[in-house]
Amino acid sequence: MRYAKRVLLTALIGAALLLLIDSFASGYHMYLIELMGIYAILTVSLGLTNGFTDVFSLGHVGFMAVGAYTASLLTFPLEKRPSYFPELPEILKGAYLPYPAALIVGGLLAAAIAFVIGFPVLRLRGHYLAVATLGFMAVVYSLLLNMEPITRGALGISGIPEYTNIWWIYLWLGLTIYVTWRIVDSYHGRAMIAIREDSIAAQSLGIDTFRYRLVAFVIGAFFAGVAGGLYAHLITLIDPRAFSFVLTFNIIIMLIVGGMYTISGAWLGAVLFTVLMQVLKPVEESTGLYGLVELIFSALLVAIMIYKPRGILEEELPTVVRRWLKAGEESKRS
Amino acid sequence: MTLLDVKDLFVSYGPLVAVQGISFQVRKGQVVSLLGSNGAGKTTTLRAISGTISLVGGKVTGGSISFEGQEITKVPPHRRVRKGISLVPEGRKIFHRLTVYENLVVGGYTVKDFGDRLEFVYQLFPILKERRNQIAGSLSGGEQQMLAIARGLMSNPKLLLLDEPSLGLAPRVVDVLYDAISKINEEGTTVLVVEQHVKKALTHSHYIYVIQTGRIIASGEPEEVLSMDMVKAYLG
Amino acid sequence: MVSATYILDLFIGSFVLWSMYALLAIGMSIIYGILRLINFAHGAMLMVGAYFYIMFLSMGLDPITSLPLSMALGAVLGVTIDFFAYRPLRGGPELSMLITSLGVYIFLENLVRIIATPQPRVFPLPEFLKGVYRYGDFSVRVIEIFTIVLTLVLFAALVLFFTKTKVGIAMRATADDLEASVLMGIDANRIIMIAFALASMVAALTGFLWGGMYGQVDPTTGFMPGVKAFIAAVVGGIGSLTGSVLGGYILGYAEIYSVGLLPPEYSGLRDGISFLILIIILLIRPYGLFGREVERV
Repeated sequence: MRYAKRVLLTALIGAALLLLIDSFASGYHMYLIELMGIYAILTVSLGLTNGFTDVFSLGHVGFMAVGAYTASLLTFPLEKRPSYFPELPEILKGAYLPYPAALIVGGLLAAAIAFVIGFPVLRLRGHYLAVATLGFMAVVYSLLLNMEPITRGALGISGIPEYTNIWWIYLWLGLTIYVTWRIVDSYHGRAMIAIREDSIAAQSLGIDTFRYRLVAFVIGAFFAGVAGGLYAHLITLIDPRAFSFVLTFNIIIMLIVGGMYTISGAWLGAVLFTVLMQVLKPVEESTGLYGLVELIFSALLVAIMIYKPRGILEEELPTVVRRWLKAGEESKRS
Repeated sequence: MTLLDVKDLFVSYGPLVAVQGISFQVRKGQVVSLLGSNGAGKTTTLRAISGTISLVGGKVTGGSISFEGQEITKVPPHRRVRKGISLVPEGRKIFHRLTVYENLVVGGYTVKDFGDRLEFVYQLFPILKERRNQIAGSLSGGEQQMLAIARGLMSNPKLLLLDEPSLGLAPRVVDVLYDAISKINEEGTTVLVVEQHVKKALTHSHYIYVIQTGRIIASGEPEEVLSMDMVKAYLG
Repeated sequence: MVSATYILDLFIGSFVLWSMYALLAIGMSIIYGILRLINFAHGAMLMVGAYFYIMFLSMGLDPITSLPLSMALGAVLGVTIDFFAYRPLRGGPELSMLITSLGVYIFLENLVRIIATPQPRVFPLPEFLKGVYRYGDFSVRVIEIFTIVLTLVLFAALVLFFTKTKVGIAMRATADDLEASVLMGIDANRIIMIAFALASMVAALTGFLWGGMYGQVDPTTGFMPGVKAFIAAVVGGIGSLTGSVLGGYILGYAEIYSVGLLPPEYSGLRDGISFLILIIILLIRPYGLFGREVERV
């Protein structure tokens, strides 16, 4: 009951905010806010695996790509398919789904793949796992380039219907945060945190670490897949390069700078990244120093790893705010 | 003359205080034993003296350690070896993937008269000379302990610290080791041994300290310590 | 269609690729062995080394001077990076160093992008490496022979260094047990410095070979070789010198032969194939073909 009220209130405030943005934001700013939302879905879902269990995956963008291509193919206008994809396999020729369903199917396919590769890969430890998931990403990339009948290779797919808008994105962001929060705040979530803090202790407590890792990995992949679908229907053209190591790195930067052990940290990282990017891009363009943004971000990442390895937000935002308020009251009283 | 002087030493691992203000001296030329059961703080004390305590997340939080009258608490561990302190760690920690000879090379990393040292340890443990080209990890437990002691002697230490040298070894091997320890001592090296093996320590030491939960509870010459009732009860 | 000359061409090609992967993988292995750091930024050192060489040439120095200078500067850079980025993280979780090395990679790539522009640079090969030997249908470039021979010589030199010199043995001891090596009077930080200097120097040399083979470099040049070398090292058993070299060998062969012998439409899967090998090896032998379990409780 308490949960329901809080969720409803948050959703209402969110909706009001979106309405405000929707009616006032201009095209370009709107686009930024939309992109920010997609980044946030990616960081929050990556935080579920990388933050709440000790699995450090570099393959998140691979799942996003799976979702993006799947959803795009499913919503692609049927009449245009024969000329645009002349070699499309028979089953895909007539497979059409409305946008919301296509997003979910994209997410489910990503989740299914996560489930299959999770079985072997999640048994690896620490950086071996990081390497193997990076390998997964590279395999996806290489398949996208080479499965030309379906993906059109390096050309990519263009003319994807522009279905994604701010409402869809933030609805999914809300869902991602809600699901992640329910997981983290549940008995299972505490188990996952126990795994993160001390894998061996968790095992001796009788927690099946593998199962929790797999659950987190699969759910994370689902939302990454959905984010891919949202992204494809926002940008309307996708090609393999959009899902390369650069994006992987950017998402990791957002997550780590924001704070990978909290949900608020994850989305805060996405917000900061988008804002900073916007501030720095003009500087880069006016000075002609292309690469400056990445240079600053990478330096920031190294500095964060050294001085604040748990990121900016070590605790959830509501907890921090509550403490501030309390401290304010106490200082007033005294 | 006092070679090592530990005064009021406190050591902690984070919030956990493992050694609570112990003091003891090691006189030059002696074999001194630190006795106590598991978890009494013996290994921690040796790590504090060798300086490797910082590598395992611990910290000296109080007191002082002086070696040859010089305060060494702030000296980094690898420099203490050059000053003449050598620790043979618990569980031997030989370099498993290196050959016996290579282990000894690393042991003599800081010395100039490598050949003489090698000759000395080969004489002390002839089996090592026989096995010099064997991978250290393939040696038996007793041989590994001999190698660990030999490696520790390569730096020509003034003070040799031994952490549970008899742990897990057959009585016959322990006899060989303690004979070697006596020999090392006769050659002029001061020895500080940490042991659970009370009998061996008693027969081979000049002086004994008994340590319990981070504190010294008794000290004296072997017969003297053994006659104390509380020590009998504690050591069994 | 598949003639003997063609097979021989493939053989030389895979040998050359192996050489370069192996050189990088050795550097990664040395650093991993001691620090347990998978140094993602190692590939960037290759790229930076190639740029250093071009820089010294453009300052009017001859190739014979430029190459050792670029290697020395590479070593200095490697040690500097360790000092500022990795040293503060010593004793922390392994993963923090891996993440930091991702950051270091991006940092180096973009620093070069800013200083030297993103455009590819022509990599001028010294005269004496430019020739081509021909025997009937079969031809081989001098730089290819040079690369193969140099790698073999360097490998032999490294083996000697690690088995016959005091510092080399001390480095292996440190990789085996860091605490015990400190007890022998070894300054671990100095050993780590030497490891970074050595690995970075070899990476810079690999940059020279890479540039010479392909004729140009750009700021992203180091990425794929770095990742491949990393796979080579893990496949062979990271931390093991022989393992790294054999890992490079396996990878070089798999790559060249998948391109050369498979039907052309699959040749694009080359990078995917490397990773597939990696994943399979990790699943069968999580510590690589020649690695040993190094994780301790």
